[in-house]
Amino acid sequence: MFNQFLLEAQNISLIRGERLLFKHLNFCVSNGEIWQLKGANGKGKTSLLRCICGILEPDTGAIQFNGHNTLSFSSDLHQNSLYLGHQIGIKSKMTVFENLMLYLGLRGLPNQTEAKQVHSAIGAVGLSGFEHEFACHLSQGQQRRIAIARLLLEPASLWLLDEPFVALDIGAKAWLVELIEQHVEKGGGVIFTSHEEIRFDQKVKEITLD
Amino acid sequence: MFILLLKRELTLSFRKKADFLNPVFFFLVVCTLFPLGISPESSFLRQIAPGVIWVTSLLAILLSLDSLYREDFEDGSLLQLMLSGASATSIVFAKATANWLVTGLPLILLSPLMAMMLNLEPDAYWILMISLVLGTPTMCFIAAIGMAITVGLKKGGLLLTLLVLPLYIPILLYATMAIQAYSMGMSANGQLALLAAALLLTLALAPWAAGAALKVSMSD
Repeated sequence: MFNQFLLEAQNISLIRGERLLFKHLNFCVSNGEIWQLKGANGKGKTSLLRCICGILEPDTGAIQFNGHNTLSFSSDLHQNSLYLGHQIGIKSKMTVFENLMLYLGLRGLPNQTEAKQVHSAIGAVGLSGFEHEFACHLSQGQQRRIAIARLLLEPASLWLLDEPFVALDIGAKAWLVELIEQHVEKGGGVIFTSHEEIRFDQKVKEITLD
Repeated sequence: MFILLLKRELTLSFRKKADFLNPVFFFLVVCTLFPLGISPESSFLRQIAPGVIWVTSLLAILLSLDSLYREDFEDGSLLQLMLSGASATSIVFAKATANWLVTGLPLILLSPLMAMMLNLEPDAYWILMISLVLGTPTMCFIAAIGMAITVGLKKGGLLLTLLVLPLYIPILLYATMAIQAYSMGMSANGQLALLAAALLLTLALAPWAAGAALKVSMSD
């Protein structure tokens, strides 16, 4: 279903302030794979995800997405990857529907299908009936669900999820695990961080930062 | 993309009424305090009116700047905007334009009222308004660079003021000189032309400079 993608990190090291977060890291992510970044707090999991997004520049090495350096902010990376960070990027003074419509608009997706898509994504994350509520009136877990609904809005091949299970109840966690598995079955790839033990039916590859 | 970003900024600004109304109230209150605090004598007020209105506008714009990128930076929206494919330049352009529309434009519309209160000659109202039309967007776009540099800093407000205020001085000088020259029966075209040149230069360069600064701030 997805275009062929390959994320390749070669010899990447990152120093923040005076601390070496990781050194000479090499990995290669292909379609249909789940990768988990492991490590204690402050070991650089979020920084590594930000390097993959092209927001942070590694001190050595390079990360390539489909053969393009991620630092070039190429449209290929933007169109084919989704990043869900610690700060979920939901505007509290916009409704659930407006937040998702804005997101779709910024990604440049066709107008006609937008509203339908957004309503179905809101339903899928269990927020039906909250479409026109301001995000600030929702709980932290519900706000997190709005962010997760973005994953349903467009067929990006690579998902970069930073602590996606935080603030979710047990049912929502199970649903997200299923969503990730479905995405990978369709040929997508996922890199996520989590301090929780998450069980997937398929093999999860690991990068441990220590 | 620019229209979508501008719409987003305006929607959010009008929903956070305090952010939108604070600079306007500040402008009205401070302009009113001058005659009370210094002297209500009309010829004296006429002399200081251009400076009072301009300095107060400048401070009101400074007051509005914290909301330019800070909230988006803290809640992760700025990162999402950058990753959405929107260029940093268009993000800056939309934010600075929205900032001018919700802060600068109301000041321009209220300025004749303040000018009347400060006894400025009615003939000079137009020059005051033209100088504000040319000067306030320049200040908003200059501020966009300063905010982009300091957005990642925890207490960047003071640094922002130090970065931005010196760049406002020429605008303030030319604007007040234009109004004073016109009040004395001289032409204000030269000063207004310089303000227009500063605006065009800022519009041409500031979004790119601020966009680059924003990328650096995001990576820190």
